[in-house]
Amino acid sequence: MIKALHLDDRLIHGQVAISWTRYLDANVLLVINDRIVEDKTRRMALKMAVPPAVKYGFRTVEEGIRFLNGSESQKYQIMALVDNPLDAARVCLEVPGISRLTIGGVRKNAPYIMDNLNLDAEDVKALLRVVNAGIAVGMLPTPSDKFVNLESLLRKAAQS
Amino acid sequence: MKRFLLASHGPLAGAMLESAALIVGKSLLASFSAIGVAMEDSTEKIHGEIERMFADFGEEDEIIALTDCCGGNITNILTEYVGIRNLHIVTGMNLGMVLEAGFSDGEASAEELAGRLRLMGQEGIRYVNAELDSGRMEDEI
Repeated sequence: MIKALHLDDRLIHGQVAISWTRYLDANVLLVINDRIVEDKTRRMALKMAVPPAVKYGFRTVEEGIRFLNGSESQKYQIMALVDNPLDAARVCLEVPGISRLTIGGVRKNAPYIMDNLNLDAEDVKALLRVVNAGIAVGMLPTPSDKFVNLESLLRKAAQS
Repeated sequence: MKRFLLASHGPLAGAMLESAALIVGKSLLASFSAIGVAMEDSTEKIHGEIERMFADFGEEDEIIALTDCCGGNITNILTEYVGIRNLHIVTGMNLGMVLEAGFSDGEASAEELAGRLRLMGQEGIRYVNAELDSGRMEDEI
């Protein structure tokens, strides 16, 4: 079953591999991304960041959603990772049982929302679809940080 | 309780603590201190600093020191306190070891923990190219 969905442009990295995996007691890190399934070197690099005794998987968005909704995934404690808001929204809206979307960071050449978070108009729209579905969206780079709910910032960004 | 002391030549130990805080947050590192010795520091001055630090710890505290390198001056000086204080020293500090120490619960003994930190440190050292060349993706689902 899915324990958490986390949006972070770095996918598997120190904060995820060390802090989140332990906090959630996750035994699978599932990277959901259309490009990475084609990129062996990137998959190998991310695999090296996976802690011992934790399994990992790489799926396209479509396959990832099917996997999370299927029976095989129910035996695992899964932390799912996406690297962009559009994929995050698809997973949130198509996989039942996700109560919140945490964000570690999205850094790119797009308007500043807050530190470590830049979003273009499409991204804002996608995350608002998540909020409107009753799923909280907030910054939370490590589980020991404070969850910063982004709803009002997203609504403001959508209006500008 | 357990106390962790990161020790290095120059700013490495302090910076290691800052970098660890980026990953796991400051609260997990509340029982950590850092000491960095400068080239011009006399042995007396270093002893003084260490003793001031130790004086802040409880008499019963277990102190686990991670030092920058085996054979380095700060390692040698700390070694003089083994037996005088309940001090355990592991050399070759790296970020993975510091994080592991941060996550340690109070249950393991200082000896067990020191052994685990040593292992963690060693396992964290890999030749990336060789692993990429191997192409192995074990544990993939």
